[in-house]
Amino acid sequence: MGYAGVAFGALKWGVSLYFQWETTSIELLYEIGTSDKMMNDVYINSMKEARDYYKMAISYQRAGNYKASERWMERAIKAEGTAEKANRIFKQKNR
Amino acid sequence: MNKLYLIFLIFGLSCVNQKEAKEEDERFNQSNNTKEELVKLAKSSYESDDFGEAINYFTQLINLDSSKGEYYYKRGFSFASIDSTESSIADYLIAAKLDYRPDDAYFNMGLNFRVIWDYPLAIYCFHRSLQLDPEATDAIQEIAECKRKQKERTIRRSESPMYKEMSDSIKFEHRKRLESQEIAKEEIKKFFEEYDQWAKVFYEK
Repeated sequence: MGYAGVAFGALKWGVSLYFQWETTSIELLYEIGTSDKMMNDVYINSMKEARDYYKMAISYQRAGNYKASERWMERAIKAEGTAEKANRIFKQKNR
Repeated sequence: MNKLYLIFLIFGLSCVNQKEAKEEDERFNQSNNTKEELVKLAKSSYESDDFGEAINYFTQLINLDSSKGEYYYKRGFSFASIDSTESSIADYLIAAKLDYRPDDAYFNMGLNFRVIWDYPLAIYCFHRSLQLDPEATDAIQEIAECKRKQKERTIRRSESPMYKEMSDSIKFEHRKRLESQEIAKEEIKKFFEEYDQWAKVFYEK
């Protein structure tokens, strides 16, 4: 099937998971708490996580293990999304 | 025995009917609130972070008076808080058009675009915010942060075709969702036209 096939499968799976996750993650963030400090911490930690997961994904990709690479990439994208949402709660201008 | 079943069935159906009638009454009462009552209800839900309710009341207020930018702005904020990013952007665009805190509306839109993986549009929104309020240092910081992240993403895209495809699909899907927002179709169209003009100048520098 080759790399293109694996990539296509991963893409479909990853994107559908991203959109499923997208609707629930915000509730989790509100459960954690919405104080500025907490959200800033979530932002910083999630960004760090995303970078680490991304490095893992790349190392598996280089080793030719695309299935594992895909899973780490998925985690990296989720972590990055969580970070951006925390950032939005933290910085948006309200009242 | 059959009669017993019939009695249970009639009892069950009457309960359902009563529940439906009660919900109908609630809806009727809701729509019969005066504007002042709606403003109070919207304000209290908004300030107590009950964003689902706040959206409901602001929508009713917008139906009564669509010329108030404040309703759109606050509904936009509420939409972002329940993760309806595209609806939030549409409402902020209308709020900015109605001249209600346009600098803050563009700033919040920029944050929304960051969430949906669209850094070029986020940078554009922060620039607009900065144009409207040249003192806003946070918009300058956001532009710098977005540019740094854009570079990081460019490197990732070149390293991993999977990342490139995934991020493109997410961005494409969100843009499609944004363009299908009925409420601000004209505003969104104009926004993209203005962005294209700005991008030509900004990225040619």
